[in-house]
Amino acid sequence: MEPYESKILAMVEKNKKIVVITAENRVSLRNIPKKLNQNFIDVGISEQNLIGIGAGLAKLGFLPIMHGMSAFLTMRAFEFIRTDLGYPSLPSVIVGTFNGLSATANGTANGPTHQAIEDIALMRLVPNMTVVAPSDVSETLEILDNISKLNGPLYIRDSNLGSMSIEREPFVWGKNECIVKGDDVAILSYGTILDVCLKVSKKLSQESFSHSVYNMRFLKPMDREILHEIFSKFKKIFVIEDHINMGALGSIIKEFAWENKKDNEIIFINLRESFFRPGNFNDALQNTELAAGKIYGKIINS
Amino acid sequence: MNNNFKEIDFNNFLLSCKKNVLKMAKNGGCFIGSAFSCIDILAYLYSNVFDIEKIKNMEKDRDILILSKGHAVAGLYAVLAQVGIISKDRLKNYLTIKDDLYWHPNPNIPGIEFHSGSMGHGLAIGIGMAFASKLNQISNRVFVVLGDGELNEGSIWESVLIANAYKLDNLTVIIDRNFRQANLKTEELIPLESVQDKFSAFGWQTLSCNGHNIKDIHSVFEQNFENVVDKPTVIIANTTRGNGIPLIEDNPKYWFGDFNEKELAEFNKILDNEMGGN
Repeated sequence: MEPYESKILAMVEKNKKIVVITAENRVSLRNIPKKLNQNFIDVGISEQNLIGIGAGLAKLGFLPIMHGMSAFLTMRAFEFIRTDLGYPSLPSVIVGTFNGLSATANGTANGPTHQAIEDIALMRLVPNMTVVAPSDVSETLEILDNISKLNGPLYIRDSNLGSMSIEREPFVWGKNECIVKGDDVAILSYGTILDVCLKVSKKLSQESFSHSVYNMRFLKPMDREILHEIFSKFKKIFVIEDHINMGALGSIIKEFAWENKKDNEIIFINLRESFFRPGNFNDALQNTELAAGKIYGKIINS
Repeated sequence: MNNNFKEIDFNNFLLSCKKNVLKMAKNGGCFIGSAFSCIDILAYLYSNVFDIEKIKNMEKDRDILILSKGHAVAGLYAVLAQVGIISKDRLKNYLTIKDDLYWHPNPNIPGIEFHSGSMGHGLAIGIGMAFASKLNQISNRVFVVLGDGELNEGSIWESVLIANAYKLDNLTVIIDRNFRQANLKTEELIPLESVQDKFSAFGWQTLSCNGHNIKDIHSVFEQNFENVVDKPTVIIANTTRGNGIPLIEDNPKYWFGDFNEKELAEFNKILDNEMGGN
């Protein structure tokens, strides 16, 4: 059994109000449907109903954890998410998989139809929504540990990566973290691409290029305290994400800078306004600005 | 279920409910055509089936009604006021900024279990609530009122498949079959017939009634409650939009209506004459 499955199973055993629902997306749930019994509902390939049914359950006091591929959840079911979960602010969890470049991380080659490269922008738009992008499975599990405290819907942009086995400070709900501490430049990222940034970081360290790397997993509400710290400490800030140029971390940083009259130099590395070519993760990366070598070049030459 | 059902009492009750709707058909108006199409059924459920105290107290085993065709909410508010779930005085706040009574159901109003207005959501919500009853092991019922035009929405048919897959025998859908949608006749735009064959093919128990004949309504719900089957039930209620007021009956102009006092006085008179008014 995978760590995610064990976690879900243990949570449901402890709290029968948790209902695990999926729109026939069983990748992360293969071994547990039978064990979950009545607390597992597969609605078939119908994302709108996945959310609507979850909303009905949530309204009557259950805590639905709704699974699907991010592209279909956040786009096909957007109005259901906004109107049936967001407007009544129903405590509920949406777990979206295969988002950003992690649409390729498992070696799948689904192409643009399956790419969720605007999911954060869309979910940020929904009032009462919390948006979080864990960088690996251990972080996903820590997020799940906190869902009983929700007072509205939560979108988890789930990463397909196994544990990155890096040293971390204890997880604090709502807080982002500095995982590499240094001076000169700050690198801000989240999710699957954080791992790429850590590779870049290693190379930068080999060249004695002092820098910090921040895991900006909580995207909404944004951890503003850490942003104040970053903007005070660093003149140059790199914002790196596998999302289109609009609406996600890059926009959050721009909004923050404008609101706080900051004139730090900010460099955005993302998918611009394009779909990326399908392929294995590393090949797909090469077709974007997000390849480790390209990021490294931009930072070291900055 | 009320075993001492009396037609005359019901007619008086329905008349009062309809007069309540007329109070909302001015100063900004309401979807009166839609409301008068399903109000007989709403009035029946709240006067003869539901335990009003349980709804008032939000008891866990209360029956639940989702008005998926949210446009008809004036009909529902009228009934909620008549059974005392909300005060009749509150209807005076309709369309004023100090309250939440407007063209679509708002969950801040007691008796409204979930907001609606955007077509094609209510059945999924109702299915979630039917699942909740199963998980809670309580034997209440979930009723979802759909418009026939609403059957254009693909999400409804996803729901119809899912309710069958999980054999949700605690779920009853009522289709307000008035053969009209916002602008056109349903059969002229996106033909729906045979609605009964469609639901039947999707694995549902299908029943039908004349949605303006109380004996027929009573008997179809008795059948629904007594004849428990291992599947969800749909009741196709054959109705007329704007029923009871000749000017608006099946008149494409009056899905929605905003009238002056003189017109409303006339409508009140018509209702009194037609329905006894004693």
